[in-house]
Amino acid sequence: MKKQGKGQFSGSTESWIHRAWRRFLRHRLAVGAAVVIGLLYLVAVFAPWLAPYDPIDDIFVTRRLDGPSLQHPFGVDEVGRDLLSRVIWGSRISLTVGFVAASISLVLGVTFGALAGYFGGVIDTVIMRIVDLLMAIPPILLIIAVVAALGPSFTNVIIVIGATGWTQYARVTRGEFVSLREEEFVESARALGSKTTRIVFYHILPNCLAPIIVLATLNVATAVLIETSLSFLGFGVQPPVASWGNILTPGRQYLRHAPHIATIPGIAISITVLAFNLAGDGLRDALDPKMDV
Amino acid sequence: MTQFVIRRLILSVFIILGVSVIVFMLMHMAPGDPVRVVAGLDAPPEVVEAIRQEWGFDQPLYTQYLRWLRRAARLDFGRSAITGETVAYSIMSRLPNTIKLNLSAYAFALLVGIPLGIVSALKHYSTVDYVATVGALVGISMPSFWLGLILIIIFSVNLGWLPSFGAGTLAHYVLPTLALGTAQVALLMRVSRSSMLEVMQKDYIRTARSKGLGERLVIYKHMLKNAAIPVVTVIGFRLAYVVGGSVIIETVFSWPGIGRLAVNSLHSRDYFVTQGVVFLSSLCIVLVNLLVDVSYAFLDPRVRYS
Amino acid sequence: MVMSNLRAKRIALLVALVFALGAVAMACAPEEVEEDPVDEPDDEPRYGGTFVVSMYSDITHMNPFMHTDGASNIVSSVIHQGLIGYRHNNEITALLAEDWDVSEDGLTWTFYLREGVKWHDGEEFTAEDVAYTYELILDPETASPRRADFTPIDRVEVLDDYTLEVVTEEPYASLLDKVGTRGIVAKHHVEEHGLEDYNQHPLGTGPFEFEEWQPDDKIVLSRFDDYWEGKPYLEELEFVVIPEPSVRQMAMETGEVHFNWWGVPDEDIPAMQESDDIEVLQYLQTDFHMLILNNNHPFFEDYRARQAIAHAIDQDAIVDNFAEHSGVVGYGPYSEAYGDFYNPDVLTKFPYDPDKALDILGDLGWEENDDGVLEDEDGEEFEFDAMVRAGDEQRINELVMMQSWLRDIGIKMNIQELEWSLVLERLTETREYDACIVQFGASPDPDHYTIFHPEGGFWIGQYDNERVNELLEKGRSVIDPEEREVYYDEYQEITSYEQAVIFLYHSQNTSTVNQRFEGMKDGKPAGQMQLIHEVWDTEAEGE
Repeated sequence: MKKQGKGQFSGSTESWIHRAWRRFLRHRLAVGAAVVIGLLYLVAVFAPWLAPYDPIDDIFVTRRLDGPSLQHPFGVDEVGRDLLSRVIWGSRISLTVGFVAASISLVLGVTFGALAGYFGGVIDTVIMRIVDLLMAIPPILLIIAVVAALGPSFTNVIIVIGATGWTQYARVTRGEFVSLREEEFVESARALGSKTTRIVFYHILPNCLAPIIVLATLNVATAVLIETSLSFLGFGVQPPVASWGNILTPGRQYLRHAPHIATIPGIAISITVLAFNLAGDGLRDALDPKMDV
Repeated sequence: MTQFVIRRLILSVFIILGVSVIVFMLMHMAPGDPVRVVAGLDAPPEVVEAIRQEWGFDQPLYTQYLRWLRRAARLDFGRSAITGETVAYSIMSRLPNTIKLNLSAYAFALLVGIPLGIVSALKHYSTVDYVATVGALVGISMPSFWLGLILIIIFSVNLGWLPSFGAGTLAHYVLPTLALGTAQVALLMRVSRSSMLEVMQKDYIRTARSKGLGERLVIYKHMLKNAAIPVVTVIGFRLAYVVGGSVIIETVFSWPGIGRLAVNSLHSRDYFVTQGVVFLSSLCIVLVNLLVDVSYAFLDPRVRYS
Repeated sequence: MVMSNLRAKRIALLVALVFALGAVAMACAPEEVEEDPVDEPDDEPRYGGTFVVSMYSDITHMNPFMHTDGASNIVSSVIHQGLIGYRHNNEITALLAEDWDVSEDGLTWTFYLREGVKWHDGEEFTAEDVAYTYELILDPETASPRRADFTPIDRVEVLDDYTLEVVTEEPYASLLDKVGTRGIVAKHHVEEHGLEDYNQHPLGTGPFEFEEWQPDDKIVLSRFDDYWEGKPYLEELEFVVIPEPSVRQMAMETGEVHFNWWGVPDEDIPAMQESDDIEVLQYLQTDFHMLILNNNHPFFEDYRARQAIAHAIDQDAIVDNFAEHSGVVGYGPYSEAYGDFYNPDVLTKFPYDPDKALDILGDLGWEENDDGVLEDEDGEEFEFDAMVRAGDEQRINELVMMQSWLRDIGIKMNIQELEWSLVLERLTETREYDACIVQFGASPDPDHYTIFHPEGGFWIGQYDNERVNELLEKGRSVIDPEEREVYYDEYQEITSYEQAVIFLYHSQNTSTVNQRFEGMKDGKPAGQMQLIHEVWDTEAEGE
C-alpha cells in the first residue's frame, strides 16, 4: 500500500537520521510532547522520592474526600489516601503497562511480520491467517475475554494488551519485507553471500523502522487508555495498587461532591496520552511525511 | 476475479469458525459458569445441578461446542442462560441502537474531521494546523468514560439541556454522539490530512495549477476526489468494529446497545450470548474486509491477486 | 391493539400537556411572580402521571419463579402477586389469600383466596392458578431456581375455586415466607403461550400490567384499571436501566428519574436529605455485611483465630467511614429488622483491640518474624487473599482499610477483585478461597438454614457447628414463633461468639423519591413497590 521510495539506506545512514532529527525538531509540539514524556518517566522512576506519602498504607481516615490543601496538594481520595502520592505512583504502573505492552506487541509483531514477509510461502500463509483471525475479534472484547480467562492482575493486564496488539505491527513489517526483499541492495547483499540474519538485521529491518517506531509510540498511548478502560469494566489492575485507571474508576463516583479524585488522574491520563500521540505525529512527519499508519 | 472472491469467501468461513473456537475456549478457560448467577447465592446443590444439566453445561467441552456449531449452522444460536431469551432476540433488540449511535457518531466525525483535515493540509504547519491537530488529539486522549461523565454533568445536570441517560429521542443522541465521535474526529482528520498532503504533491495537481485553473477548482476537482479513497477505506474498516467500539460509551450513557450485552454476557459467563455477539461482529469485520479488497480490485486494475 | 391503545393514550397525554403548557404560560403572564405551588394543599390524590424508576441492571426474568436478582424481583412483583406479601414494614400482608390457617400437626396449610380478583386479561383468578403455579415450580423440567423452597410440599389440593390446601411432609415453618410470597402465574395464559418467551408477555394480578420491554433500556407498565385494591393513581410506570451509579444519582437530581432504590452512595445521603426536591427513605434490612473466612482454611479453622481477626478490625470505623448514613454496626446474623427474633443480649462484641488480637494469635502459635509478619512454627506466613466483586467500590474500600489494620498486626491480606460469577462459584461450588467480603440479603423469616447449614446452598464459610446445625434444623420445622425464638437465640449466640463470619454491619436500604410524588413508603424495595398503587403525582392532570 505504500509507494514511497525505498532503500534510503543506500545513501548515508548518518545523514538520514540527521535529517529526520532536524525535521522532528521543527515540529515544536512534538518536541514539547517528548519533553513531557521524559518528565513523566522521571516522575515514574523517582516516585518513591517524590511522593510525600505511601500510596497504599498511609490512610488519613478523618480527611477522606477532602479537597486540595497544603498537606495534600491534590486532596485526599475516597479511602483517605493522599491523591498526589497515588497519582505519582500511578504513573509507574500506567507507564509500565503502556511501555511494556507496546514492547511486547512490537517484538511479537515485528518477528512474525518479518518471518512472514521474508520467507513467504506456508509460513506467510499461516502467520497471516492467524493475524486475520485475531483481527476479526473486536479488540476490547478479545482483551476482556483473555483477562477473564487468565484472571485480572498487573502482569496479566500487560501481557494481554501486549499479546493482542501485535497484529498491526505484523502487517506493516510484512508489507515492508515483501517489497524490500526484492530490492536491488538486498539482492546484491544476497549475491555477495551475506547470511540471512545479516540481511534481515542490517539491510531490511532498518528500512522498516520508521513506521514501526511511529506505531509503537501511538501504541503506548492506546495501551494506557486500555488500562483505564479495563479498570472501568472491572478487569483491571487489582486494588489497592495505584494505577491511573484504578484511581479514576472509583473516583468517578465522587465527580459531583469530591471532583478532585476523578479530575486529577483524568488529566494525568489525558496529558500522557496526548503527549504520546503528538510525539507519534511528529515522528511520522519527521521520518516519513507520507506514511499513513 | 470470481475465483478470488470465492476463495476469500471460503477463507472467511474458516476465520469465523476459528473465532468461534477461540472465544468458546477463552470463555470456558475462564472459571465460573452462569448457573450460579441464575440460581442465586443460597440455592441448594441439587437445584444448581438441575439447571446445569438443563443447559448442558455439565457436558464435555467439545460436545458443547459441536452442539453449538450444529445449531448455529441452522442459524439457531441458542438461548441466554440468564434471561431465557433467544440469542437472536437478545442481539436484534439491541443491534439497531448500536448501529444508529455509531452512524450518528460517524456523521459527526465526518462533518468535523474531514474539513479539519483538509484545512490542516492546505495550511500545512500553520497555527490552524497546530490547533486543529492538537484539538483533535485531545479528543482521543481522554478516557472515554471520563469524558462522557463530564459531558453529562455539564449538559444534563448543570445546564439541564439534554437527558442524562437512555435512548429514543433525538436529544438522547447528542451526548453519546459527541463522546463517541470525538475519538473518530482525530482519526478521520489525520487520514484526510495525510492523504491530502500526498495528493497535493502529485504531478497532475501541479499541472492543473500551472495551467492556471483557479485554486478552489483544483482543490475540489482533483485533490478531494483522490484524497477520498483512503478516507473511505478507513471508515469502512472502522464500521466493522461497531460491535466492540462503543462498549464504554454505551455503559456511561445507558445506551441499550450490543456492546453492553457483550460485556455483561462475558461477566456472567452467558456463553451462548457471547458466542452470538462475537460471531456477528467477526462476520461484520470479515465481510467488510472482503468488500474493501474486492472494491480495490475493481478500482485499481494494477492490484492483482494470485 | 394494546399498542394502538397505548399510543392513543400517549397522544391524549401529549395534547393535554400542550394545553397545560399553554395554561401555564398564560398564568405566568401577569407581572406578579407566582408563589411556590408546593404550598398548595395536595391532600386529594390525583390520577395520571408517569413514575420513572431506575434500575442498576436489566431484569432477567419477568416470571416470578425464574429470577433471583433484585431488579427482576421488583418489576415482577408489580405485575404478579403471591398469596401473601411483605409490604413496607416487613409484616406479612394478605394479598391473593384473604386468610389462612395451619392444622394442629403443622402439616396442612389452608388458604382462603380472595374472590373477584382479575387477571390482566380480565379472567377470574382461582385456586387452580395457584396449584398450577406450584406444580410448575416443582416440575424439574422448569428448572426453577426456587424449586428448593417448594420441595417440602407433599401435595397441593384445590378444595374449591377459592380454597386451597398445601400439605407438607414435615412441619415447614417458613412456608409463608418461602412459598406464600411467590408470585402466581395464570394457568390459562401459561397453557396457551408456554413459559419459554414469558418475558414477552407476562400476565398477573398486580396493579400494573405489562406494555413493553426494551432490553437494557426500559420496561413500561400501564395501570390495571380493575386492580382488586382499586384503580391505581399512576397512569404509567417506567423502569429504566442505568448501569453507571453516578449517572443514576444525577438522573435523580435532574428529575428525569423519580425513584432510585439502589445504591445511593453513603456520602450523598446528607445532601439528598437536605434537598427540597428529593425525599430519602431508609429502612433497616434483614441483611448482614460480613468478611467470610473459610473455616476449612488452616488459618481460620479455630474460632479463636476468627475472634482475633474480629478484634483487629474496627467495625465502628468501617461504618463511620463507609456506611455512616446507611449502616448499623452488627454483631450477629440478625438485624433489628428481624423483630422479636433479634436478641442483642446474646451477641458478643469484639471491640477494636490489636493487642488482644495479637495475644490470641500468639496463643495459637503465631510469632512475628523479622519482616514483621506473623509466622507459624513451620515458618508459614499469615497471608491470605480476600475476594471482592469487581467494581463494588464500597466493599473494595472497606477491604483496603481492613488490609491496613491487619498489616499492623503482621497479617498480609491481598485484595482479589473478581467477577461476580467467579466469586459465586468459589463461595458455593469449589469452596476454594481464603476470604471474601460480601453482603447477604436474607428474607425476613429467621430461617438461615440455606445460609449456615452444611446442607444449605450457600453454607457461608463452610461453618460447621453441630449445635448450630441442630438449631437450624429445629427452627425451620417448628411453627410456634416463641419456640423458634429459643432456637434462634442460641443460634445467634454461638455464631456471634465464634464469629462464624466476621460480622461487620447491617445496612439501611436507602431509596430516594422525587417530592413531586406522594404515597411512597419506606421499606424493602420490593415492599415499597407493592404499595405502588397508592402513589400519586401531585402535578398530574387528573382525569
